[in-house]
Amino acid sequence: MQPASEEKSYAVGIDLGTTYSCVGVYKDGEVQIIANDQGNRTTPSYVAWTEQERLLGDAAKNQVASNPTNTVFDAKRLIGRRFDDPIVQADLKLWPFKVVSDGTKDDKPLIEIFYQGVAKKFHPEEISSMILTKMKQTAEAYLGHRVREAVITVPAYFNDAQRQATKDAGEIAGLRVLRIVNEPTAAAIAYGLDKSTSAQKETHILVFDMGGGTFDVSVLAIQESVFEVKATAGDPHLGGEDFDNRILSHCIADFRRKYQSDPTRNQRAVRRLRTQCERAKRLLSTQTSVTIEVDSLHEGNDFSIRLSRAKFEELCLDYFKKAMEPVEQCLKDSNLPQKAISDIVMVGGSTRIPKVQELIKAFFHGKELCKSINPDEAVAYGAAVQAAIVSGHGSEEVQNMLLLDVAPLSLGIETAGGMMQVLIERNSTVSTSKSQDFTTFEDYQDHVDISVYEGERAMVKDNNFLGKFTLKDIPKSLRGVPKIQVTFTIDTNGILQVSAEDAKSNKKSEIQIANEKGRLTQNDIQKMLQEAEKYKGEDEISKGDMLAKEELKVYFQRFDKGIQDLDASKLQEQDRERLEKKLADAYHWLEHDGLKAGKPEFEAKQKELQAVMNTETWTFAGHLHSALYRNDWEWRAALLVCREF
Amino acid sequence: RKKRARRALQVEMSSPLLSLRFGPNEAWACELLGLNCEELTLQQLGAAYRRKAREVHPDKQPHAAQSTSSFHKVSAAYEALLACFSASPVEKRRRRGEAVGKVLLHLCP
Repeated sequence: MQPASEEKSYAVGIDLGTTYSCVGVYKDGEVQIIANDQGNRTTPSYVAWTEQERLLGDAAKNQVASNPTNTVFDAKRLIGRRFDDPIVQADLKLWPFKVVSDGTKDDKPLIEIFYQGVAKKFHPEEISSMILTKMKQTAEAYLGHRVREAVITVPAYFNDAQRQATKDAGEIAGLRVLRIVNEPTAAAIAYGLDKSTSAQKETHILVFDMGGGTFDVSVLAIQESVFEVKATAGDPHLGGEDFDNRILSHCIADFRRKYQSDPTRNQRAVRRLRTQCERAKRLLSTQTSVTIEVDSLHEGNDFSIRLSRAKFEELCLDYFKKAMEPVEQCLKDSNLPQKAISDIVMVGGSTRIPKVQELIKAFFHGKELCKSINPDEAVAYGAAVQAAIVSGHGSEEVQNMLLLDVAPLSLGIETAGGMMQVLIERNSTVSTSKSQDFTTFEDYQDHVDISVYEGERAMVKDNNFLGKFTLKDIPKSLRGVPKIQVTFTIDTNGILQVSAEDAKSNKKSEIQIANEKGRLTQNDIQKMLQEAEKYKGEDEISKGDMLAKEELKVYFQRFDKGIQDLDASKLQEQDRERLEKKLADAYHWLEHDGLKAGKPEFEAKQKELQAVMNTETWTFAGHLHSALYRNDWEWRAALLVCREF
Repeated sequence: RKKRARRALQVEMSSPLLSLRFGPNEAWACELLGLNCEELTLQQLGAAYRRKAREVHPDKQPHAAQSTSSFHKVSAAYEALLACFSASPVEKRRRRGEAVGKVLLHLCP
């Protein structure tokens, strides 16, 4: 690495989506969304393993129908979750790839694929890291510099474990994650840069972010380039894929009725049908009806069905209605009446659905929606701006901006009777720190267990367990006497640290929830980093192999041509035969053993041939000069080699 | 009906026209936000908070070791003042960081 490029390192913003990802960078005073090697500004969040290699992005998605079990997608729906999570169990039935439990008490899910005849297991974090690597490479190709730092977005309603896991994925991809930013907040920045937000007047906006897999709503107050999130709500498992699934089951039911056969066991058929369902859903945003057609879907039967927009809306209406609840919740939490919202910003591909627009319009009594920003790119756009703010690049306008985000879920500890005592309320601005005093439950109790939970329910058993630690050696006294101060601190990434201190003995004990529950340990991350490096190495090695092989083939041609070109009188018949046999042997070797050979073997073979040729040429020096050797220098070198024989 | 009345009260309390004069209990918070305890509307309070946040936020002062804790203090002050605008007395106490109700909290052994 040259020192010059060390100085000029860029921090990028990455929108790591469930179905598509997007990368942007703040450069020369504006945000640029970077197109990938296929020329697309969004990249499918797909990873696939074929017999020879690993594919990422468009390449992986394009071959999904022919290789369904080894093509992994939707890693975002697994990340930071447990295998026994009912949501994971439900999704499992729809995925063509295999997901297994890791068998430890954390019950992490692992994705199992077959690569070169061996079953390999990956954490969802690793799959996400591969997609991040792809986005990183896309940015590097465009910028011509290495990219080491990034801001990655997550759905606002992601919990602590999911945020942590996303951060880990960034680390495995070799990125320093400057910040984890909430998607609707990032979109709000994109909106804010578009409008002039440096005005003195306070404006309130609502961001409605419905993407491929997740759904978020946020209410923000914007004033003088300060973006303050007032409240956020959402559903981490609601989006375009769910609509696809509804259309898919509708089609499968129809197919069953028509042909009395069940295509669900046929992964390839299901995948082909799903692709058509997704296409139909997109078309229904502009057309009132479409035809879904798949030739020879299952057992030679062609499938065709007409789907109207009204039917599609009927199929998904409960989802659309469900999406209105967080809107209501969010307004209530932010203590604002509907008419205080001056703009409704629509983000994410699924907001193109007319019914969704209609419902939200009706909710706000016919208010026009703001569609001035690109729903697919707004999040990456905002992330790129935040990356510029945090890393200190960017123009004055950008440097002036400030983002005040909130924690989406209440955080607290378990108290006697399994009750949840909240220390940090949901929608508290991060970073924040809150303390409360607690005491012991029994006489002469010398330690307390502190269990940390997140969620809105009154009993901890209904909430999400985050971690647990023990404060030991409390001076023995009667119940209710000791004073134990518990402090919760959330950093700007929304990641939690908890400490407990006994006031009398000043004994302190703390955990960063980071190190607990379902999260990868630092060791795991190191291991995966090495694995990722190995993949990179493997890619490079196979590239080297290919080059050596090509070179050998070219040499064969030159060799062959050289023999043909030789004057018959100068080359004796037996020598010619010997040479030709040698060449035929070498061809044979390339066709058979050469399939598994690596760069050293190819090079050795070429040397061998060269040596043979050179000994022969010694006798008719000069004749091969023009045919075999491109220039004089090479020729002399060959002569030198010959002398050694 | 009770629910609707409560919601109406809430909306009224969050109206931009309502202004409050803060008492001596909130003097510390006013001072932190750079206000002189005069009559304020919710909007003016929000503006003061955002102005102050821009000064002390760790993103803007990455090298100052104190910036995180001073931002926490400014946030706490804002919340305390916000509580005065809140309609329900429980909410008021909660926002001020006081324990709600008289439940003695224990930790299990």
